[in-house]
Amino acid sequence: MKTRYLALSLLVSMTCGFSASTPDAENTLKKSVGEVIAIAKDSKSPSALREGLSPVLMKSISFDTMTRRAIGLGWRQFTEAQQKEATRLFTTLIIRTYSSKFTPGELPEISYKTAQYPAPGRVEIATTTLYKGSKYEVIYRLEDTGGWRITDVVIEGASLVANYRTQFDAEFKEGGVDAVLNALKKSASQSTD
Amino acid sequence: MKQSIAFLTALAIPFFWLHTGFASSQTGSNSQIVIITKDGAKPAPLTKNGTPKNSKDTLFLRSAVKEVPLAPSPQEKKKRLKTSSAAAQSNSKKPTPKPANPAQRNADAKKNDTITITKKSPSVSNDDLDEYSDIAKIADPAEPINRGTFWLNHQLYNYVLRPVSKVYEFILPLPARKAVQNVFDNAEYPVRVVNHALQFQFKRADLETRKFLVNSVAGVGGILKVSDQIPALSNVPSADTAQTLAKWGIGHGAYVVLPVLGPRSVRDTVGMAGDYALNPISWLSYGGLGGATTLAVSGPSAARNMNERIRIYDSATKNAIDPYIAVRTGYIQYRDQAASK
Repeated sequence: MKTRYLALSLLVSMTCGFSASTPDAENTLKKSVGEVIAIAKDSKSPSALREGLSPVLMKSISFDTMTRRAIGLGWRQFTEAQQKEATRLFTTLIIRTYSSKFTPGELPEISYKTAQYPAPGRVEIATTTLYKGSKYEVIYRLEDTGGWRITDVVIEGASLVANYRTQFDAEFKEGGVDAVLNALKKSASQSTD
Repeated sequence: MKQSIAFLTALAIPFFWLHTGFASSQTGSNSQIVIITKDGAKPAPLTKNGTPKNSKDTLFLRSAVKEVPLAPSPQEKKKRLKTSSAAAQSNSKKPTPKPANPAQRNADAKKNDTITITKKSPSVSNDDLDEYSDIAKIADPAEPINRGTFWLNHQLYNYVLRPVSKVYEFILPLPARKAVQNVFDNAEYPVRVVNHALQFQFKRADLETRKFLVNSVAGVGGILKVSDQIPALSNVPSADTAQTLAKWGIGHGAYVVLPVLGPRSVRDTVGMAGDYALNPISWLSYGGLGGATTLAVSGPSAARNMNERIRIYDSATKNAIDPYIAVRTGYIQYRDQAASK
């Protein structure tokens, strides 16, 4: 009897080997979002919230992927130093943008839906967030780049990366690489508190 | 017993083989046969017998392919030439390096019977960079006028609506504001049910009707949104006339920024007129009610959306590179998603 159960469990574990990475993506996201919510709840001010979220977001989000896709084809015209600078500035913007969605002391309720797999190494996890009495649909896009990391956040259909892409396209058309870098520097240096 | 273990093991072997076979076909390990892609030489997908699968790509032996770094961009070439010419002027005796010539490189390679390809860094393939190029496209022929109206609305939001919404928040605490929101949402039932029917979503129209009845009766005229506690009724997608027009295949048309009301498309502006006609709150002014009564009802209706509108506006414009484009892109994506539900 024991041998029979052992063989059956071996069979089941082999067939489940296909989807071993998918629970990793979901668990990674849940862990990251849980950390963000905990920090948001305990923070006393927007600037404290931003400082607290920064290390969590740095390890959860693939900022180089986001920056590259937000800038688009013009990325190839950036030198390596300019690419690093653009990534650094865009990281500041994204952290500030994402942090501003939360109010210190407020706790959103998040429910996770079934993950979708648009391509190998990519997962989209839809969530419903109840925050301050309103319901929002938020989709997290993750990619396996040596560990699952977020590459886009879509809030009520509006993609963060797509939104910046259209803005950078306009800047690039105006003045190329320098215009994009100057716009990034200007936005990143503005205080929003 | 032994027979059953053997049977189960025999069943398991194909799954295990499929798993490893799937992995190796993905990675193409152990393959000396490659295909040329824009990311460089990649192993060709093989059948289970180890022979290449049928495909349109030309197959090469790995040993015959030589990969070299991508040629520099024109700007980089100019920079290098400037630097090298500056070095030449400062009495450097080193010759200026010639830029890489693909034709010459391939001619040299042919002498050695190898094929030379330029390999791009895997992190900057064009597909990756261009992933978001087709999102949120809309014609904006009146952009200068729209930008002007956008600026006016920005002043209005900051100097009129924001203070008014703060007073509204001060007068009515959150539970009371929520109750006002629920009552007016419930009253707008005809807008949703008619549009669900026009979109041939009769099941949603039925759910919307049940939601209206539950909230009107158990929710005391819509004050309490009892339907949120009922799983079948808690997530009924909303519907409006602009969404119906989108489902009928009518495109956005041009982008417009309306005074006070903010971003719209031509289609959504027409849709707004349809919503106004279907909204019972709009009928008050035609129902013989006095101006004061109408204002007493329609005033909170306008105020209830103010907070949300300002919050969404702030969310889109703070940290934006170009707030006008940020709002335009966000609006179009939001409406496209609503039309796809």
